[in-house]
Amino acid sequence: MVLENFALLAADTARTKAYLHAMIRENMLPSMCVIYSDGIPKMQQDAQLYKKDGSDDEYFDVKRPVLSFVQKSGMPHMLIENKDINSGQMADVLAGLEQEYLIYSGYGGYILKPHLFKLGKKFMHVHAGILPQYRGSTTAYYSFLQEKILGATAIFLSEGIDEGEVITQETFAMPKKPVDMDYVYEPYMRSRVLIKAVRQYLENGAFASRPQKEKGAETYFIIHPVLKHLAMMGMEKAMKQNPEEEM
Amino acid sequence: MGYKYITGNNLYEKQTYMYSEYKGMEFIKEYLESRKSCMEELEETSGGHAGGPDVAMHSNVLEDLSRLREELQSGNGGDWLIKSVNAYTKSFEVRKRIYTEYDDDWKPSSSAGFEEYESYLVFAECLLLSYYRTKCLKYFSCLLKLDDSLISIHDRMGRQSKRQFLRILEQELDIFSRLASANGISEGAS
Repeated sequence: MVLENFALLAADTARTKAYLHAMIRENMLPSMCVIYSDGIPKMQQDAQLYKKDGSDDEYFDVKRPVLSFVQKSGMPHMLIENKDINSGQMADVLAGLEQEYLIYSGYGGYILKPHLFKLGKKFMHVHAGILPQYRGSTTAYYSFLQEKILGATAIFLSEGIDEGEVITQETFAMPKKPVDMDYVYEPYMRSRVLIKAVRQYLENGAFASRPQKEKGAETYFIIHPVLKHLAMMGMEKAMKQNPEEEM
Repeated sequence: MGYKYITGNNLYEKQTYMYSEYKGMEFIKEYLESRKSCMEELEETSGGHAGGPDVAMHSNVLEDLSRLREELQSGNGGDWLIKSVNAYTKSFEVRKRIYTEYDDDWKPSSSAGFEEYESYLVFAECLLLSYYRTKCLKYFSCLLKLDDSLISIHDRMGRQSKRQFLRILEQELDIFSRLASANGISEGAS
């Protein structure tokens, strides 16, 4: 199925690969994929050299090039040699899209600037944490250490960081086997919530988003490596103790 | 290789802590070794008569932080108290410095300095108290970064400040041990 009103803004990242993998598998293809990077020729070369399909991977094939997913699925796409979502060039590209909903899968460290919210588009983003309790950065580690939970929330981006209206959210079990949290499991969780959000739209013909409550809202900053280690070692321990149990 | 988040002077050579690599127990051992080595040095060099305060002049920021510490210690204070700690936390997380003066938007004033070490020590105590009060790990994460910076400049502190810092590091390690135990991690494990 082609999602006529949806475009994917695709940085060259593990998150984009997780999104593409999930959307292809669920047959929910955006009608346009805007791939933006400062290394488009390298992306093209990588896609040409890649031979494996990767569709049987438990989560997604993180080694598969972004363009390989896109080309093999036949998804309409455009390539933009610019990795700055806030650049004038990108604003022009986005303004020219006919789709209303833009699924945002951008590069880390970029926050959408106000001019992009004046384009008449809705930016969908999946944050790797339960909102509003876990706003900000590296929240998967914090939520594991504090509550032994992992989660993700689909929102419409707004000018405040992680403060936009909530579309849907979900908590996740710990992975059953050791897996890279940053580059595999976290993008995987986001991709599942993205699918859940799109399904909501398809079932109801609209999104039922709601503003976040401020009560209980907390903003986190990049976790110190000592705490990150405690979280990862704690996760490994939990996986070994309960290899087949959901937490 | 050793604990890599303390370099010459962290106030100038700022650590970003982004995309930190995972090295398992080896990293934890490096961290503990680095902390313990600094604590031994502080023990050795902070003895004798403490004398007067290390800093004669106090900035408004130091006074404000001291007030926050007092309120946190008293167990009183409403939302405004945690909001104030949050504002300092955000500012430190973004700049990895505490300035002597901020404008209304929490930007450092053009003439502000950032080497009033007493402010860092008092802020560290505010973070400890905020963590004890809320159990929110963002305060402890910030404290770990702040202590990295303080270790990088500890040889410039006076005796009284060194004693104060030693007590902060003892509390940091105590919290670390509790968190490690809660996650089934033993410091002796490999």
